[in-house]
Amino acid sequence: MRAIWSFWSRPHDLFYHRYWHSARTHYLSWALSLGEAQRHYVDTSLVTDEAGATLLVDRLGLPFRHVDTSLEALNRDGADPQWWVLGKLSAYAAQTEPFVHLDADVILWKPLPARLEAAPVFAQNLEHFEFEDQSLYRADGFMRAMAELGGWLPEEWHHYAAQRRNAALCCGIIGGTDVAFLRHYASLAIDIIRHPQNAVVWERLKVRDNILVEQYFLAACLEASARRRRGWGTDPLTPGIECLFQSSAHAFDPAEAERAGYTHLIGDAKADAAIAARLEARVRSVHPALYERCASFCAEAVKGAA
Amino acid sequence: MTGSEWVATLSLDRGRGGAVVFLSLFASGVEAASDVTMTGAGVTIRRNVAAGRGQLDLVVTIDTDAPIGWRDIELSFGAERRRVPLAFEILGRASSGGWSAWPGIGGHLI
Repeated sequence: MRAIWSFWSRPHDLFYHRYWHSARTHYLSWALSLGEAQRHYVDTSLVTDEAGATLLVDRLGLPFRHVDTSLEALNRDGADPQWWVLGKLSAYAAQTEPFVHLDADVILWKPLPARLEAAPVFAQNLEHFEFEDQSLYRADGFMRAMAELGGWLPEEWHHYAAQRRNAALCCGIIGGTDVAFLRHYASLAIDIIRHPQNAVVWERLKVRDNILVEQYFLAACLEASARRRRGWGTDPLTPGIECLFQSSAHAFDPAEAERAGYTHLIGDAKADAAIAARLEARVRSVHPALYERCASFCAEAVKGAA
Repeated sequence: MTGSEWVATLSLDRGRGGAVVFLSLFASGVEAASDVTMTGAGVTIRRNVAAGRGQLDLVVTIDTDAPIGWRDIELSFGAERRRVPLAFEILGRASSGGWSAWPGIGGHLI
């Protein structure tokens, strides 16, 4: 199985970097994510843009086996950087063999369980939202704007929303053996973001519902595929997919994470000073060559800024 | 009319629905702003009268149903308006982009 990562540098440079305790912490997370994953998956691949390749490969020396700079097309096309998920979706859509995509803040201390590696599609965990609380998955507001402004959505989304489904899939990791499905889903998600009929909808909504398009829509596509295949995960509450954790609650259970051998510095954990210190110590200890490259690059950056 | 985009530094740039967040802007002359607003719904900004030279302190109240995502901050200086783009983020209760519980997922394994 190929392990892939994606990095669209433009959203990171504009605003996504603020999630991290520091630039140094960001670099060290990359080093640990790749360093540990390559113990289990020799075939590693980075999908990025030119600036991303310069940073991660040329400057930090991260030893990906393959480097693909096709995300430069997003910069050339003037893609909206607030749709940061375009980088991830483009990476999924570019795959031609079974893969696992890892976010840069994900560490695989163990290989994925065999049931995931053999699965047509897998992700980190199912997430369920309450319709009474749509602060995260803003499904109703999204559909309302689409209807009022004549936006475009594929049939998979319309059917899923009409059934009032509230399941989504956390994509800290995502992958599988059914590459055709994953490419189809990712391509449709990209179409949603870039469809000319939807520009006026994004203007109305203001914020970009990246997680709705990536994670909620994945569940919608899985259910549609299950309906078509009749027997591949037909339970509408748990669309045909394997998950590393049964739920968000299981994922946040330290014992469950230890059993799975999995770390995901989700959300504000990336900004935590204690975690930043642990990253520093761990990379220095177990990946000293990568640590030295990160430290040298940070020192040069400080010198250059002075 | 919104003036040219203006890079100000921030001491804190995230907050959740239902929260009151203390935010400071640091930029030359920022203390002279006569009005501060944030793009999008669900946010109330109260200016702290103790602003000093090059610093403007704000109290930001975020509605529980405020839409999540990055917001611009706009400041008025008389007839001129300046914008700090993508300056502040409203986080969801629990998400790939917002949960802050220590130690994340498996952070203790590092």
